[in-house]
Amino acid sequence: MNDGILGNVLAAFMPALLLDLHGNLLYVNENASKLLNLRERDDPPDRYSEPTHYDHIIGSRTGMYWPVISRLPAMGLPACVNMRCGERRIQWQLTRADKHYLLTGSETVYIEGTNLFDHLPFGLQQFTDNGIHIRSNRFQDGIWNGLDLAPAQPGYNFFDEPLFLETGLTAILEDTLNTGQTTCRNILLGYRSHTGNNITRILPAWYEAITFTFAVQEERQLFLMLRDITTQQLSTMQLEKSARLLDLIIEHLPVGYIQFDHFGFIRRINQAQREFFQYRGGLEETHYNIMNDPFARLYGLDEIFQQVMLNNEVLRLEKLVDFSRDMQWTGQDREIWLDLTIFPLQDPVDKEQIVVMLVNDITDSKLESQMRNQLQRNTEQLRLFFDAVDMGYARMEQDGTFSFVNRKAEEMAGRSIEPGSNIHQLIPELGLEAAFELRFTAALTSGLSESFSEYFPNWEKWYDFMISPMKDGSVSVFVHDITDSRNMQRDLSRVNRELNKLNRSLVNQNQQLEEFAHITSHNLRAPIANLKALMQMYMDSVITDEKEQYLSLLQEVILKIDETLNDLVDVVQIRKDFNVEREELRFTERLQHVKDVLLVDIEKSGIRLTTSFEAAPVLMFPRVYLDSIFQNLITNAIRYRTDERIPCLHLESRREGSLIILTAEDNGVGIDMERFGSKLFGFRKTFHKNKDAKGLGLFITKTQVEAMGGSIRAESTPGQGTKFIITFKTE
Amino acid sequence: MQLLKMIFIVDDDPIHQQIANIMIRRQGIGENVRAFSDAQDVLDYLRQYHYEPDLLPDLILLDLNMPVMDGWEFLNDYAGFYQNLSKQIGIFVLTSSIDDKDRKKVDNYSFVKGYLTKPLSNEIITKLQES
Repeated sequence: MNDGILGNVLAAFMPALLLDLHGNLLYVNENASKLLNLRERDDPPDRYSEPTHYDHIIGSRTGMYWPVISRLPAMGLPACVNMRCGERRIQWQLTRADKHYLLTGSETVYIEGTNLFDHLPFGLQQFTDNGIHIRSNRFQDGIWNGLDLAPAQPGYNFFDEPLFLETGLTAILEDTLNTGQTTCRNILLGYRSHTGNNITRILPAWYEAITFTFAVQEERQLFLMLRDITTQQLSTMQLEKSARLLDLIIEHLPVGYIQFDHFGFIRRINQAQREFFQYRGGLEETHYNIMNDPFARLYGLDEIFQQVMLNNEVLRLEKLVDFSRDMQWTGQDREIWLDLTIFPLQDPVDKEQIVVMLVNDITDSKLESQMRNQLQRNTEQLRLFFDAVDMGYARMEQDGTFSFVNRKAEEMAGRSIEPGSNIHQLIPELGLEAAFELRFTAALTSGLSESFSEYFPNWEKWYDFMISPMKDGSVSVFVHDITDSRNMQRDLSRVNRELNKLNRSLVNQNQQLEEFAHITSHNLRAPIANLKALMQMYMDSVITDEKEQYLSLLQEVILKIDETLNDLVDVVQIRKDFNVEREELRFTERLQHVKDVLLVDIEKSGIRLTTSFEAAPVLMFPRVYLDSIFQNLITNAIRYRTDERIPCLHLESRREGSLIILTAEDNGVGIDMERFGSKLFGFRKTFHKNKDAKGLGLFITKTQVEAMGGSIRAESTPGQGTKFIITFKTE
Repeated sequence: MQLLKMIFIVDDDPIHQQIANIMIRRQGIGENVRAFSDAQDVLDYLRQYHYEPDLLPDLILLDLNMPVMDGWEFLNDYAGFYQNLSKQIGIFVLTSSIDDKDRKKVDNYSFVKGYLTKPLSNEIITKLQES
């Protein structure tokens, strides 16, 4: 009965199930039914509403099925199965009792505070030293779940888990087993998918794994602590990545990078800097210090360094450094313009002050900018020059768009000219009608310069142009104001003409003076000498007859002198009328007039007059002179005719350029030109015995022709005839 | 004083011819004075009688400015043959020209004895005789 009482007591405390030999549920007490969520009953359970077999109640929930567990007791092994029942962990123990099996549950023995264990913020796994699961906290279960592992399953052995072998977890477990030491390691246990915002991410699952051994009830047990460090791990890796990236960036910066510590020692040089300055190496090892390196001090780099350090400020400066003066650190041996940026930094790790110097070679751009400055200065000078010259200058595109115009050109055009404006629109004076347009096109077509002058009535200016197509496709136009020189040229040629005229008249007058001297000596001295002689003779004579004879001779001489003087007066008159008025005369008309005057002489001589004035019918000449010339020519032809043939005179006029030629050709006796040519046109020169000859006619003719700027000459063959050729100027 | 048998006056001025003739005869230096208006006639005469000294003149008074043949032409022609003459003839240029060029030009003719300018005077005629 005691057993019965004990049984009741036990039944009241212990959860218990009674099974038949096949595992069918026969009885379940109140405690057990609560744990397993079964209805308490005495009767065989309702097969349709309740699970009635061990496998249904426990086997399927633990993986430990009836065929396995029911054999364990016979093998002398403890037939136990652990199972979570609500908030509690129950170990069910199977015991054989005659023809029944008894399944009793006992709450698993925990370390103090089940709640604490389960609520630890990291996973804790407890297992036997041969790798059999003992228990794990809830956090740990979550981890295993995530990895699709079920260590609580009977027969599972941690040491056999491939994932643990792979990740190195097995190794640290063995390590702990062997040494008894606590071992710690970060392990990537696998990957997890996270879903958020409709995006599923596969992220690594990093854990800090700590293993230690601990004796529980004199049994050595292994403990594994897993702490999720994925976030830290990822950020650490991110940090490392960033650092590496930064490192790479610095190393491959296209500018030189030099890092100093706060003493001025070089700590780091990037590749660009090494290559660029052709470092000979050993800078880091030899403790280069910018504060005491002579080359650095030469260029005041030590002071700059100090300034940056002390004032904690960024400095940027350009420096011309002659690297040929350093023999120690660099193979660079030329002058280089450096663009230096120096700034202080605090090392993020050790919080030390460091200084970074960025070095850039700007020699090329410096030279370029110097050249650009020079070029700009040159351009300005050129501009000044073009403004200073007294010549218009414009440069334009082929379509006439101005790109540069100097001040003078603007003055010439009488308007301001902006670059970009077009010559054709802006200066219509140069378009269409003007030669400029044609020459411009011609210059573009030929590619050669065109030079020309043009008069602009609007401006009252003469401009001299040169249009030069340039190699770069633009066109340069040079304009020179030649109005003054044109006017001067005009004035000059007018003055010149007047001078020529004056000179001609002076020469003429001089010749006349000489002729007059000659005439006076020959034609006046001779009769006066006679007068003188006759007077002497008259005075000396005492005989009346003689005296009378002398007086009559005297009278004769005086008459002769008078005649000569009258002739001279005529000649002088012609010469005095230097500017006698010209009029338009028709040869035919004037000849007819003269023929009327000489009618008797012409009739008597029977001379035949023929004319040919068609080629030049008109002459601008003083009428009296032309009449006189015709009269002399006809008279001469009559006077020096020959009896051997019918006398003829042919008069002809023709034009030769600006000259009019009048010829008079007779068939008379002719003149021995070799002998008498020089006397032909002389005053009172005769060279034949004809008593009518006074030697005056041709002299007068010559005087009249020459007075009007013309000339006269003669051609003759003695015995055949004479030809007089008179040349008249038409202007 | 030598009497000049024959004197030629070569001048186209008839008045001068008469004056010279009268003055020479009145001065009594020669009796036979002949006047020529055309110098060519004189040359013809001299050539015709060059071997008869009695018919050749002692003196020729030559004008320079004459029509047809002037004094210069005469002198040039005369220079070509005067050495063949059987008598030495004194030639004087007697002209109204006071041009120095003419005077110098005359100097080129060595056989011309003198350059005289008109008018004739008794003094000049006396000189002719003395030469």
